[in-house]
Amino acid sequence: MATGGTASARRRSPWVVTGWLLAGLAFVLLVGHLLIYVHYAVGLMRFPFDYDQGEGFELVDTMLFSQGEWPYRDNETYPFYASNYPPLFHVILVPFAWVFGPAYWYGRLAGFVGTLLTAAAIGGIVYREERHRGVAVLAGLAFLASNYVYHIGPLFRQHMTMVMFETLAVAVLAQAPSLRETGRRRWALAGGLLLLLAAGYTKQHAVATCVAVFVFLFLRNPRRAAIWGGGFALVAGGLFLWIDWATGGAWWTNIVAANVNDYYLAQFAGLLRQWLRLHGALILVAALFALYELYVARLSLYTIWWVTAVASTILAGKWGAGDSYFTTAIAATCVLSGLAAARALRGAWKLPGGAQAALKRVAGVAVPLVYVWYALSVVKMPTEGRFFGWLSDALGLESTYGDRYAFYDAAGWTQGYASIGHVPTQTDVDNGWRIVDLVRAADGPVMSEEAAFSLHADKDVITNPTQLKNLYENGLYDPSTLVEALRAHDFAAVIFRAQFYPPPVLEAVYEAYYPAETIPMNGFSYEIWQPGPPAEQRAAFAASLAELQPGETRTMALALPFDSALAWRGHTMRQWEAVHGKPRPSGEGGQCIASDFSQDERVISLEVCPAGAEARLTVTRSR
Amino acid sequence: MRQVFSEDFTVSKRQLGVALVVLGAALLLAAAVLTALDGVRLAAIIGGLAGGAGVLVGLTLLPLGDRPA
Repeated sequence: MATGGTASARRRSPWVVTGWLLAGLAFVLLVGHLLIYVHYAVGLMRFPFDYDQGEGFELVDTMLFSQGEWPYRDNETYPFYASNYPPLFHVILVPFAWVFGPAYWYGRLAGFVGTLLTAAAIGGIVYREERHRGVAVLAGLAFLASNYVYHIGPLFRQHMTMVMFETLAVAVLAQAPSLRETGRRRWALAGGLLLLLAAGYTKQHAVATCVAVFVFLFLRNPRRAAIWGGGFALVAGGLFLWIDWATGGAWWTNIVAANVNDYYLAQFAGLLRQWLRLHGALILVAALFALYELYVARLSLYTIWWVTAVASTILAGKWGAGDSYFTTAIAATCVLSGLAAARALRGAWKLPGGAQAALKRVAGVAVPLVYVWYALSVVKMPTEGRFFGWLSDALGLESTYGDRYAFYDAAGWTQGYASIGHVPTQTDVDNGWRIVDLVRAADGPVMSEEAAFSLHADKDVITNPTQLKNLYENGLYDPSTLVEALRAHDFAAVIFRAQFYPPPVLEAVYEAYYPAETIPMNGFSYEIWQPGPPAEQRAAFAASLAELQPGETRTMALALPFDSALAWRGHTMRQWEAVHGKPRPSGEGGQCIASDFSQDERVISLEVCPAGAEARLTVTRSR
Repeated sequence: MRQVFSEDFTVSKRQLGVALVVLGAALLLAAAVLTALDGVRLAAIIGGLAGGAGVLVGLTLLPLGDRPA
């Protein structure tokens, strides 16, 4: 790799040639990672359903904004929906919603383009500060090569757009205090703080970058930090209060209170270990650069940003958080390691004695070696298809997820790590449309754990499950209205993927609905729950179970087709033990099905018979 | 204080060190109080570790004098 002006003989020395070869290898590997990322992003943009949990609710927020409505609402009234994210990402997408309606591709495109802009900003910072094109390119590519960025970048989620605004804000503000011309300095500060505000109103996690910026401004000049900090607080706080007032307090409840979740130290520790293992090569260099600035040179915004971003990863231990909480730290690590590498190649480190010259010589090989090490640490790729099937076979890589997905990920898995990265298949798409057809055919709204099916069927989106769960666990959500609606079969079906609802809501579904069908899509099992018998019939059945004495029998009508009644019977007796073998034919002509269940000392026999379009249930307590 | 908020004031390495020592000690104290009141909790452990790190880094910056931080 170039180390400045040298004689032609030195250019051909084995050491220099080795450096160039390694630099070429690093570049090829990182471009390979970029191509895999583009392949994945295009694959996701073509997939018309939720790929990662919760994407559809971001689309719902976008649709609400496009209709001039706030997504910060009362969760206790129909449709029991509210958003827990700030508005900017969704507002940016409103023009797309006007033109294309509800679709996933434009949100995923925005996320993907955001990561490309972040990489460009990282490269731009490294080039502006150190004037080394090669390292600038490698630093930008390194960001895109990260397993975490790969995962989250092309999703319909706001996180990577936040990272983009953060990186752009840091790029603008890092040099602002040094600008001598007052007018230019003020414009730079205003522009940078506007980008910072945009980051905060894209996702709350940007608070770490806000801390970094104001610590940096304070170190450079406390007076300027106080003045600009006051103005920033006024604008950001004013916006906050206005939205809270406009939404009747729902903004505070859904954005702040709902995000106070349980904390799992093991989740954070696992993710931290994984992050260090995958990005260790760059983190090591970044840490050395930070120490150098702390003790030898002057602290730049880049170093302070890196420290606060790494510190903020501790929030990755929250329930619902995960690897995305490391992406700002990854961007900062790419900047810092890029600056360190370029400075080493330029021989611009201020070190005592001959260390400076020695470091410059070593850097020619060490710097590309760091990027090769990193590129080999973050390997991930699909393991099927004409090209990737051949490549993964040639490299001896097998799917990390077995039969579930055809995808190799060197990251492995730890609690909180998103187990995604594969490209959905045509079967996934077909199965998604099967679920949409079921929702379309349903007589009324459907409570679905993912929004895509209702959106495609042009029906109301009912509930934002994790939001209800978070609020419930913080004592801020009373689920009684939703529970009543479920018991009354106000929803024509329920679709589960992970059952991330508050426990009383799950109990109400278990009591009033039964699992009728499971459709696999994208590695998950989507359970279609259909309404069981009406509330009064369920109550009569429950009373029979509780009241019948040995030898007594009760018969009741079930407002369900015979096959559905059989499925409901199996589900509703799930807490009883099946006895006397499999269900057996009974009744006249063997057209009924009988089976026995026991619990404690009691043994109950249930016989389901067809009765016209419905069914008849006979409950007998034999012991 | 007037000097701190002047047009050309910049925080030095020593001043940064003092600030880190003070902040770190405050965090250590808060962690100790939290532990005394509520037993050993995660927040207190994290606060204590961060405070301890702040004090240590701050102390190492004190000898670096008036160089800009």
